[in-house]
Amino acid sequence: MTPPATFDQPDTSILSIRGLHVRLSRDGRPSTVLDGIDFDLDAGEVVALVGESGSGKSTIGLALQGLLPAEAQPEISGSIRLAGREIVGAKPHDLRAIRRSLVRAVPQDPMGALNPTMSIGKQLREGGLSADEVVEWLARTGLPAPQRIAAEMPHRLSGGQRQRVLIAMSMAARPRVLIADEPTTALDVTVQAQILTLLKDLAREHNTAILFITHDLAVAAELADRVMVLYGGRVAEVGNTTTLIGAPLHPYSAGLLSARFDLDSDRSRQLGTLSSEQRRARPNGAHCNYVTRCPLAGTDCAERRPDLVRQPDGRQVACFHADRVPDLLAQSREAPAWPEAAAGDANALELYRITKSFGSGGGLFQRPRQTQVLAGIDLRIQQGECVALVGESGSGKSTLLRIAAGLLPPDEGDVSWFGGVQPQVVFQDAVAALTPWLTVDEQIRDRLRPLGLSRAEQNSRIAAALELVGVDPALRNALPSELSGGQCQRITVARAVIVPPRLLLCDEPISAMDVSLAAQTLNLLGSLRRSLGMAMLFVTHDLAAARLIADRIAVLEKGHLVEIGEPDQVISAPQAPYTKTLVGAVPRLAS
Amino acid sequence: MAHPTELAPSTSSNFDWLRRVGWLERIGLAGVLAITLIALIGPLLLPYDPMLRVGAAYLPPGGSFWFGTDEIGRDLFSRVLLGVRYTWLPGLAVIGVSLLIGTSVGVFAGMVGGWVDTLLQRVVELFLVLPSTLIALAVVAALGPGLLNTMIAITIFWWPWYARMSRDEVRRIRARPHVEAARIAGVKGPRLMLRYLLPGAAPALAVAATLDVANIILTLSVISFLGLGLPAPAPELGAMTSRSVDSLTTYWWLPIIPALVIFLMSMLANLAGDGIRSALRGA
Amino acid sequence: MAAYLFKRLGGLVLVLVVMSFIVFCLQAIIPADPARALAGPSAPPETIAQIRTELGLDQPLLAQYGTFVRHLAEGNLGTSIRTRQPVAADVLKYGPASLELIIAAMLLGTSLAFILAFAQTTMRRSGAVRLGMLAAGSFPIFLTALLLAYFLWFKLGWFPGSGRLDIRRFTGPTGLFVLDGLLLGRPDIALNALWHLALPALTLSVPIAISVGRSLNSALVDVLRQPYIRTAHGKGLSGGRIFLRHGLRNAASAPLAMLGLQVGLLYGNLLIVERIFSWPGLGLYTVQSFASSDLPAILGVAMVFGAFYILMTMLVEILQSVADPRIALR
Repeated sequence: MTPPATFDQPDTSILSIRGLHVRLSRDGRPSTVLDGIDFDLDAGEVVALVGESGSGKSTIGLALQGLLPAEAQPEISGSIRLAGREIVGAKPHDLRAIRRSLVRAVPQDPMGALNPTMSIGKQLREGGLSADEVVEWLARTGLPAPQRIAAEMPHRLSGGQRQRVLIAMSMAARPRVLIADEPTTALDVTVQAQILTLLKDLAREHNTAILFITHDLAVAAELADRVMVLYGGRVAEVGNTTTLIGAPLHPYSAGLLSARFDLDSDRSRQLGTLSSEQRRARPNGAHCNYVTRCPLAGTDCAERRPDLVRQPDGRQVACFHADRVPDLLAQSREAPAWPEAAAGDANALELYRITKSFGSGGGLFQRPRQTQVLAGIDLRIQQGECVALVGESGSGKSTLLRIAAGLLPPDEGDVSWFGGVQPQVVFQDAVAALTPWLTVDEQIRDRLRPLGLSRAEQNSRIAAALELVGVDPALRNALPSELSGGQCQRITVARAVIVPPRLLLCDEPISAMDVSLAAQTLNLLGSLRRSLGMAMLFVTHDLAAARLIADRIAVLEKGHLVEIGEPDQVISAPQAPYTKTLVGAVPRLAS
Repeated sequence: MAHPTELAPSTSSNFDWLRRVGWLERIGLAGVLAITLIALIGPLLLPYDPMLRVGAAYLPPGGSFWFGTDEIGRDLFSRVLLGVRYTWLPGLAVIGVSLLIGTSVGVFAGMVGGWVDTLLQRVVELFLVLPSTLIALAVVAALGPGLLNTMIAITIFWWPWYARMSRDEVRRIRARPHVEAARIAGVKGPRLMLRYLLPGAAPALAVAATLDVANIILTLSVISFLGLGLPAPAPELGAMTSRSVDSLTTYWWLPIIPALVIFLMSMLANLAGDGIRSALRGA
Repeated sequence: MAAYLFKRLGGLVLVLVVMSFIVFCLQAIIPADPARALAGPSAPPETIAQIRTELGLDQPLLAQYGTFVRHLAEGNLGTSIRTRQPVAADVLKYGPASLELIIAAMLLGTSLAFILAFAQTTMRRSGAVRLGMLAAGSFPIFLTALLLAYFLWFKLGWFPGSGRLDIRRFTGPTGLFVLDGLLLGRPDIALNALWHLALPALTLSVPIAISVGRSLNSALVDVLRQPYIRTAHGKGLSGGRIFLRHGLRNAASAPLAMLGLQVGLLYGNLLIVERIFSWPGLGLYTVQSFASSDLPAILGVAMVFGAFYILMTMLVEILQSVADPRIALR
């Protein structure tokens, strides 16, 4: 295949993408997922591909392997050259050869990515390794007892171990390019850092270039030489990691940066949020894709499409108003302060020596195996106080929340609420927490029923509650399926606070959200708890979010409370070894 | 704080569900309605008395006897039309009664939980482990042939499926965040049941029940074919085929036409079930 | 494994006890008097009374059930009213013919299921295949039998339309004629038996092929969408290898369960197929028993089929755990 006329592949680059367009169909409706991507990757270079879900970042990874899902009837044009071989339009036979030796991938979810009915060793040998090499590579990824692991079936391994197996599987082929698609999001924080280090070391050792797909700028900053920010299937900005993160020039990158928070963020005020929540994207065309959310958008943005322009410092930005972005960023740092909080002396929640075990297996003649999830938890939350409960998956934090909510009885111990009134809960998955066949109005109204209000009074209370959480009251007759995820989250909050509870329990409310949405949700919850005088139990695995929202942080490890204290004290001088690991594992921008 | 201005939701029409249904499935849905109508008013449509000799014996299909005549000169079309009634209505009745018993038991077990649930599950499992057609046939053979006995026998082995299904659905939906959220919001009792639980379990049950109409029709026809349904002069489709099997090579229409009508009914019911499944998938 | 077998055999006994209880209750509550049926309509009262005593019908019900169960445990299924032979002897006589037919139908059905599932999975426009399968799944079994017989036997004469062999009075060590023909060094007999098997086995295999094929297809569609399939593609393996080594084995569980379920539904179909193709097996025996209200025969055969069904369910569970190591036999 002859390359297009404009093709100029730098000598050093291992991968060159030119004018890449991809259209995929969903339910028979085609849409443009990648809209003209130009990009080069040097041998041994680590580039982070940053963007929110729907930005097309994963599609680039799939296109590189020639693995766009056939059921989406992909239409692809442009050129992808990998070590001099063209991937677009390549024959299946050639693509297989390229996948065998040139490009490999580490997937997002290690739990599903290994064949459950084939032993680990066999799955590695399929890639052309000998039995000895299998053991050697498993050992190199830091797995203990590699001999034993090779003989195991995947379901006997933990998520972190599986991800190591998958990294061994990919790196053993000594590929020139490794695609890592959010390889740590499904893993616990303490494991995340180890996996990142492993990837980086192996890649350096073998001079493998990494395309690291992530939604987290901090992870990108730790790992990458360069960052490419993707929005709506187009490149918004590419540049050196330090320059780009130090002074972004695209409003979207600036929005990502202002909304993200870590252990060094200012917790005395709200988080800066630059962009509104994503609305139904406009079809790609002759306009800037970001125009619907951009605080700088002018008429030109809606009429012409900004091209990637090379800046004096070498980076490329696609924005007509790049010169105004530094001011914008400075503005966002002056976010409003939190409202005044009202506190009391009484306990809003008192948990006394809570224990809980779950049985698994067992049958008619067999005792079920008991696993202790909570071992004698004591916790008091004062009126108006917010306590964040931090722990990894399996620590028992969600179980404790369900016990505190009265959804689950404890085996032993007591739960008491102020005034004996049941607290309200904000769930992790807001869309699932709304009943699909009932309108917003019907679901919120069910909370007002015991109050014996007139219909007109109910209506005005509902409108006021929706106003309070920032949802247009006109949406009251909508079904949850007609709303965005962010709107659903606000509506669950409205339902919880329409009759302000003494205590609000939040179960990982931001874990599945993009940064800007997460920041808005933290702002909303932090403001409401202060203005309504609610106590709050905020369950999370994210230490940075816990520090921002809470007055005290409680750390839960395998059913034991190992540490509790003021956020800055817990983070700057952690006492328990487990807390130290947690703090060390949080990626920071200013490293 | 940032106050997002949102697009108003698109208003969806009430016929949205129909667009998700393919044309074949629409034919199935229409066909099922047509069959039900025929089954209900069938006796008014008969061109001839199905029980009396109205022409020469063994007339082939065509002329004034659309489906021909049988061994004693009765009009096959009239007999088949009446036969639709004797298969379709019992089929619907079996489904209806099984659904009623099964959902009541299943929803009760799913709501109450505890030892009641365990006990009911064990009973249901026992029923499901037993080979159903086999025992149904044995029961009919023992109780004596007849339509009512056939229906009872099939119902005995059909309701446990719905009991298990509705129980599992209720358990599944009960554990979903939106039901927990409703419980925390203070919804309980019948309101929780009717507004938050049942609407979630209904689609799966509706699809299963519609697809099962086809299975019931086939099971009924097997029992009828084996001579365990209505006694001799009654025009039952399975029995009509069974009695004329030996005429296959000489008067093919006698065994084939009633069997084809059974096929048509079960095919339309299957299509309608698929149609309801795709209509409910988006909901 | 041993513990599993022990437990499942215990379950088998339990289910048989329940079945025997149902069967016994049926016999006990029905108005018809087996003694009168056995003696004939014109027998004098003394004869009937004598038969009642012989059958133990003058005993209390619980004692009768005890006798019934004891007989069952001894392999005594009662005496047929029609053939006047022990039902167990009749089962041994007619059983092999049915067993041969069932084995042939299951092998044929499974092979057809594979073909159908592959056609549906691999063909881009599988609407026609899907519609065809839906239609075939809507066929009453006797319509399939009649159409096959009409065309392949009556019109074209390719296959025989009745019986197990062209020659009469053949007996072999196993009663499975295809196998017997091979064992006795008579390939002509084996072929002839196979030729006679064709139509009834094909008829019986259609529902198996449809439901197992449908289940295999949806399992394959689901499995081929799993992330580990993408991992396998990412290794650069060929499509065929991925399908066989990563797809098929993970998709095996649901269709296997469906195959087990089909055995339970086989009984009614077997009766009809054996009746239409005059196949001298247990199905035809039962149909004839229906005609003469021969309850001991009907219920005895039902018990045998019930046991066969449960054994097949066990076999399915073992196969499932072989295919998927996550399924532990419990």
